[in-house]
Amino acid sequence: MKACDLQLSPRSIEEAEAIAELAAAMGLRVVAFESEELEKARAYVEAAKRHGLEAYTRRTIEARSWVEAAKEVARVAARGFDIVAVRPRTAEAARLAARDPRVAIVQLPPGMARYMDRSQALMLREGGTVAEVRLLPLLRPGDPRTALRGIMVIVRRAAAYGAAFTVSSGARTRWELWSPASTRALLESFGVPPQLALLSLTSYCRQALHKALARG
Amino acid sequence: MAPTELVLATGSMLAAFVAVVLAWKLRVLEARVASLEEGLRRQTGLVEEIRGELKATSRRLTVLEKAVAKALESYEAEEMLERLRRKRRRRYIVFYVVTEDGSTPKPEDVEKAVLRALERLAGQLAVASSRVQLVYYVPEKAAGIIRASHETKYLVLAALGLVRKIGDKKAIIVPVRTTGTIKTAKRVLGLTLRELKK
Repeated sequence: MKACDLQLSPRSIEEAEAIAELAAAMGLRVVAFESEELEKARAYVEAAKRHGLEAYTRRTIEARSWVEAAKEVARVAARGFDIVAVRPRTAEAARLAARDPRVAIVQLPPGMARYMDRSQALMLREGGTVAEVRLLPLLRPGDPRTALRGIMVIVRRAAAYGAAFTVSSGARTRWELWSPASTRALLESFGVPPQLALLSLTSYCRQALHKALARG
Repeated sequence: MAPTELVLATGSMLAAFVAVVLAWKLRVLEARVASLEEGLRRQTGLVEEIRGELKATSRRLTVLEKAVAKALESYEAEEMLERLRRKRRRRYIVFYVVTEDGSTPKPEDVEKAVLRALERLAGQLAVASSRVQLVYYVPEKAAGIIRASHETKYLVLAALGLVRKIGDKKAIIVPVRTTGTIKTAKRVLGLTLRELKK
């Protein structure tokens, strides 16, 4: 079973090296590097490959209005990023991104937990898109309850409505990485069945990658 | 003697005889009644005695019943406690620590960091019920074994993911494997046979 973390956002090549080294030691096998510049992302991917990881480039687009976001998605896809993800800020963007053939991942921030409903799950299934939650908000100083609640609601609803979902660390440094065992345990402590928790770290990531790579 | 006189004499004799017989019968009957009364009195005394004994026995039985009920109660409580004790299974989480400067953190600091993370994630009740304890630590490898109850294993593992600082240094705890016995956990740590026996 290859564990995945599809969002790593290092700020330098040295940090990418350090992240890749620790990710490999933790048992991660597939990673995706987020960067606005494709060259940088490719350099990170090369650094990860040196540590025996399967790595991809990724770009996440923040979408308020889908008309604007669709143009950006087309532009990013044309530039050659392996994975195009959308972080919707409105319900309309969340719904339309889920069905867009170029979008592999819809990243839902904890504040958008209420958008993960039955129809969103249906659209995610229809489009073969994977919902994603980021664990980075949990590491912010202060009370983690709001973020924890949002993540818990998204994950539980995705599991209940049968939508594919994945969990990524969003790590900017190696100190923000999450080991697959801890991520899986966190999902299980939310009440997600163990099999689904495992799928979210393995097969559902693979599903997102298949969709992203099938785009050509 | 004239026949009339003879008849009268015989009659009076017979009457006297009958009277004697009747008197004797009466005396016998009186004696019988007296003996029956005596017997009845004796029987009544016996019944009273038995009644008293029965009362005492019933009192003793009540005390005994209470004692048995108490014993059963405590036996049931013991049995329930035993069942709970048997249910209280443990899990051993093998982990290693990665620190900023490659130094080895102190075991107390590691335990404190894990407890703080667990409290932050799941609250004090989880800390109490999980009974988290750092049971083994190898400073040379910066690796160790954490014991937790099997019910809260996932919470402890998730809390390990939340640890980002040990002492005042940036650090990360990487769980390697969860086992059911400390012996297996020590084997996972790669300890020698001699160290395993410690």
